[in-house]
Amino acid sequence: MTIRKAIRVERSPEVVFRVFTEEIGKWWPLKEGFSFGGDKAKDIFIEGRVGGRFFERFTDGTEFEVGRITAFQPPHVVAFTWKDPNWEAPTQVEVKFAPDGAGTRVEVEHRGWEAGPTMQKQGQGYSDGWGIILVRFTTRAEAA
Amino acid sequence: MPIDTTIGALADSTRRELLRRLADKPCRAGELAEGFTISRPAICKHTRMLGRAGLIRAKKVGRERIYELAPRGQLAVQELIRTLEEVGAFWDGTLNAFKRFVEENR
Repeated sequence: MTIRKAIRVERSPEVVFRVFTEEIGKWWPLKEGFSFGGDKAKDIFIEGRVGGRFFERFTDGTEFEVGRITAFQPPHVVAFTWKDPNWEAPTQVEVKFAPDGAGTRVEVEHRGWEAGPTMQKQGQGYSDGWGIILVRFTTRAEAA
Repeated sequence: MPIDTTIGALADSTRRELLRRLADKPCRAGELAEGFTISRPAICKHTRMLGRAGLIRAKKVGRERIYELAPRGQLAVQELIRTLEEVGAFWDGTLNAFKRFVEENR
């Protein structure tokens, strides 16, 4: 269960990687609703090192951590975890940059859905929550 | 349904694969077992566990057993698919915004 998306950008991988990571605040469509802060959306950052934070800063100065950087290899790959506040477990995002003629192919893989897409249903009890069930399963399997 | 029964039912990659196949369409027992390296009796053991957990059910048609997702399994799979579609649309929007920005400004 993996979401895969790709797009071609007419610039070199070096430029594309740098804009994707260092300049994420300039292009990420925060104002178009792609923010955990809703109306408070202001800025978003990827810290360029493994263990760094992927986070938003809202207009009131508070910050929300979406996840942590798990791979950072310019200009090839950046990977990070991604956890919606309603989910118990994080998902994993990997973004790869590959030369494609004079441009760059950008590929996104978003994995980890076994572990928690439907946490919103938490209030409805255990009986119909696939996500809760699988999260508990995953936690247990990993602890074993 | 005790939660532990469900956890046990899902704690195995073969059983998760069986659920994925049944999410596409109901299957005859033979069809459901196709392509696995483990034996038919082993597959039967797995389907019994999924049945006990309330995720799938079997009905008899003539001499054949047809397996399908139980309503509870169906709800769970639909919810998962909806989430995957939403997140997929999210990435489409994000990548398009990225492409526009880079090509207009760099």
